[in-house]
Amino acid sequence: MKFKPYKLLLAISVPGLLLALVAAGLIFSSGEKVTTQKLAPDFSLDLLDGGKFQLSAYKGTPVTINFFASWCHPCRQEIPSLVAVRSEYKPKGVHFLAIAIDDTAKDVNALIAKLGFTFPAGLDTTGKIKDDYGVYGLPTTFFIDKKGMISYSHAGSATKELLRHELDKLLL
Amino acid sequence: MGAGTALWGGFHSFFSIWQVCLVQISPFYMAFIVGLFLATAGQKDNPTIGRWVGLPFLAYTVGFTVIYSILISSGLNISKSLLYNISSLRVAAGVAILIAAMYILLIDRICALRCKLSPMLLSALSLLIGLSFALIYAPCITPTMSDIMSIASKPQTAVQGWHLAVFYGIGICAAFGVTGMALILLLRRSNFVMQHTRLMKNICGVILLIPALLALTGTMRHFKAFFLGFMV
Repeated sequence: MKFKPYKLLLAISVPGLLLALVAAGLIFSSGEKVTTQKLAPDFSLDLLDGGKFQLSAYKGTPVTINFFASWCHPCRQEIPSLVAVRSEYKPKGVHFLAIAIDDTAKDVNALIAKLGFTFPAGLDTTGKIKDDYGVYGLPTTFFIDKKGMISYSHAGSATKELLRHELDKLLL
Repeated sequence: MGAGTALWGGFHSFFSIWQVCLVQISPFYMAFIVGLFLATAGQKDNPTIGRWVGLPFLAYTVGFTVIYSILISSGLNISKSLLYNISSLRVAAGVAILIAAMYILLIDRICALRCKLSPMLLSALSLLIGLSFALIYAPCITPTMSDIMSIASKPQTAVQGWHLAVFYGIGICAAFGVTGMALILLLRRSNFVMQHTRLMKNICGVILLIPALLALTGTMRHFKAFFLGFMV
């Protein structure tokens, strides 16, 4: 049976790609320690209200970083929970930061005005912070402990209970 | 969570409020699959949908699911590598989508493209589109997807989570496939469309140029903020 070159290429490349990706995923994931905590990548972000946020300046206090976008439906659902929990934990020394990605300043400002955001927010214009934190979906929330290590990250809309549970762990 | 739940979660997301999470790519997929069909309909007297659309659909599913499932399985090291380089990969995806758009636009103008037309060649193009769409896509996270990502983010359950992510991705593609096929069957019944296949094919090609140019110029965020902003 004769194969045309592109048919042969397709027949080899599809299963080959699948096998290579599966094998690579299995090999590279097997060596990682379960208990390893990752140091939160440092960054500097211009805030929409005119200030600046430098993560390393907050070492010694817990920080919660929420990645969101104005066009993201579950992000909008989550914001009231974040605002409520932030008001409970701000007096305990927890800092909150919202980082908008894949978005424009105009739309983020409109959302902030509409939903009554009360905590610092900035726009990751280059996508560098998002890439450093490995964010693919929205919303994603990172909980950073006093040592600057990522204690936990949650992909998807976070409930008040989940936020309180993780923040209590950071305050121990 | 089982594979069936993950599969249904992906499929269901297309036909629910969570469509807003997929609309970044769904119109472009429809333009691609309809464009491919119209390109073949213009060349063949009686194109069989199974061969000319079914095979490309399967290839798209493989391409999209492989990359998408790995990207949401953050417990796998390969996922971290892909995510760290996603900006560069999105530019490459833009090139691939541009090639597919140009193919649809130029197939009736360049003899070399027309002569090589076959279900296998279209499948190769669909595989490329599937890989590219998974890369340019920045999903908002549905409740089912959130559960899968939670399992897939822990190194000790990353492989299990990845398997669930594969089923979730197949569910999304199945919904795309069903909708695309229904659209083609509908268009096939339209005398206007079948009499103007070239025009309709070109419209599909131009629609497909949009994500290509947005990915190449890194301006996808403007499309999301403007277009998706209307929907939420």
